[in-house]
Amino acid sequence: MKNKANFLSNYLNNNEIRAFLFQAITVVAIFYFFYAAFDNMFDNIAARGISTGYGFLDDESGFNIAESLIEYSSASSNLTVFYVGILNTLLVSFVGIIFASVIGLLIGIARLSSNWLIAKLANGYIELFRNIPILLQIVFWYNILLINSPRSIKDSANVLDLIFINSRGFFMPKPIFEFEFLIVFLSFLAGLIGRFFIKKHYNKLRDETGKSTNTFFHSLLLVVGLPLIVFFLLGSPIQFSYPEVQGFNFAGGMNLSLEFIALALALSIYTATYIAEAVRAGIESVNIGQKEAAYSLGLTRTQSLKMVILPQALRVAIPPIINQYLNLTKNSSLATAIAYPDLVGTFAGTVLNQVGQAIEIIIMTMLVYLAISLFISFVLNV
Amino acid sequence: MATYELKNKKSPPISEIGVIKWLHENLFSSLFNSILTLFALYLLYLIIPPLADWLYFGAEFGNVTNDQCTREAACWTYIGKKLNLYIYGFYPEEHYWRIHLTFALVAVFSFIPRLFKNNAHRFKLIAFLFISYPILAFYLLYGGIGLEVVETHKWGGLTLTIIIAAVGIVASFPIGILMALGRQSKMKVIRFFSVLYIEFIRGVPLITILFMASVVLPLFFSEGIDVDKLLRALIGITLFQAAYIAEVIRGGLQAIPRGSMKLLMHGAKFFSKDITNYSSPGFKNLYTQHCWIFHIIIQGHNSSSNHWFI
Repeated sequence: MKNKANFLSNYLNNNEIRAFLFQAITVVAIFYFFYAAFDNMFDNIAARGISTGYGFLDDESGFNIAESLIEYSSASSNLTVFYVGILNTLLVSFVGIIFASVIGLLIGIARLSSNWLIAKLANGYIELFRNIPILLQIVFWYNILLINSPRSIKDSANVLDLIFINSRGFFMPKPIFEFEFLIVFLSFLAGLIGRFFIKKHYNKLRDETGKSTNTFFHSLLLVVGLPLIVFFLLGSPIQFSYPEVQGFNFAGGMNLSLEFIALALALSIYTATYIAEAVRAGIESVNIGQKEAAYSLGLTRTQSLKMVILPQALRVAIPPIINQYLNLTKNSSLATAIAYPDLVGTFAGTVLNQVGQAIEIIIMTMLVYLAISLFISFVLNV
Repeated sequence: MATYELKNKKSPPISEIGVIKWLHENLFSSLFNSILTLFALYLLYLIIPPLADWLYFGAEFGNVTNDQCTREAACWTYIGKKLNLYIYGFYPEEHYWRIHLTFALVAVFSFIPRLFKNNAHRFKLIAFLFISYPILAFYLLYGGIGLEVVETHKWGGLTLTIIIAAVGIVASFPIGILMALGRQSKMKVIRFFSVLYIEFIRGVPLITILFMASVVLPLFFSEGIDVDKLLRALIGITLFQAAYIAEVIRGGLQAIPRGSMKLLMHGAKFFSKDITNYSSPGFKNLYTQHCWIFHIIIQGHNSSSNHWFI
């Protein structure tokens, strides 16, 4: 009897066996939970008369979307709505990421400025915008834009006859690239490659002879000059379509809705505060001795920044910045609050209300965000 | 013999003291800095006066009607009139004392343990209060035996903000700790599920989780069980926050030097004091990050409240 109890307790105290038992219990519990949940779910769905499956994707959507990057009308399918939503989400995230990076970098550097006023202002910016929920900021900027923009087309605010602003959004010239523009772009790429080789050549020369050459003008000529020359030689292969009043609206040009601008603005201003802090943390993480050593070697301020401080600072700053890009993309889902037609607003909003197939729609939406997150973190972390 | 007289003490040059030196060092140390300073001052000039005018000098504070409020200046009258709505939502006015009492109890309950010197007693007391407070708070806010029931859809305003934030913070902690430990575990299955959970939740926006909690979650329960809307939002927030807390705690655990961790693992006879000492660098890190997380929870929850779900 005693032996048997000993045997059992030995058995249970064996680490491997215990680990196995724990894991088996976890698996069973998780599967049971999902089994019970899904069982209930199917019962409920049947009881409420909601259909299942992905058939609804082919149905006609029946509603209009204010802005879309691809062809869309109310006769398009729900699947098209899904694509329109994804593209709008990607567009606003992309624009937001670019502006957030620029503002964040500037503010982050300003935060460390030796100029007292600039440093305090940057600090004030960070503390102000970081501590107000992003949702409120989106609604705030949207209302500011909405209240201040003229209602009618006739009263549109006019900037140099190029940009018109009214409550339907910003109307601005739209560049139309002709085929020859491709050559300009290629010459720009060629300039970049040329610059790389010239830089390499002079660097080698410097290593051999100790004589360094300033390559700034070489680079300028190659990267800016070459494409410009090609551009004019080809006879300016770019045209603009200008917005013009036609009937009750503007025709031609490019229209950015107030919702889009408010959302992009709020997202960039909010995310810039976190990027600024990441930049500052990166720069401050570089030991002061590194800077002193660079100076005592005779490097100039720019050189020491470029060759000593930034490479080390970026290593610290980049992972949190990538994290902020992800956050921005996820926060763009708050677009629903101001009716910008992003993925959540159109697909998980209107389509869900019409079709009622919550599970399929929400799973699809989640998977899109998950894919974007994993993609960004995968690409940028390599 | 030459004699040297003590020269009179001169005051330092005017450029080396006081305001002028400060200005020179901090605002006008170089041409570039001077330009920056002037630019910043101009920026402030552009922003501050109109804003001050709109917010305060031109604003309406008194008892004015709707027509008197223009877009030219702020109208604070409205805020004053609706203050109760902002703070209490639609909670019935005669029951405001219940909300006050609930929040006052936090102060009382966190003070009581300080009266006890004996650590063991104190710990038990804290544990008791910690468990009894939520029950008491729920009873006070919701009602029940002897108190009139106030349905959760009447809760709102700042009160609800604080309730959601508090519940989110407290409830997500145990799950977060479990997930963080699970992620570090040697058991592959446990680690797999923890990673899956954490990475999934962190990869999707809060609003989709809230949609899930609000639309899909009720389908999971068998028919007849109606899950309160506030509870749905709370479940969503808690599950969401737990994933973030898990990562913070993992960061804290990983910051503990390997040596101290090994010591802890081997030394079953350590006292709790030693554990705190050995792991303190990691946990200090953890605390600083917590502030950040709280800040996110408090901000994040508002996407759940009033607007869409409650």
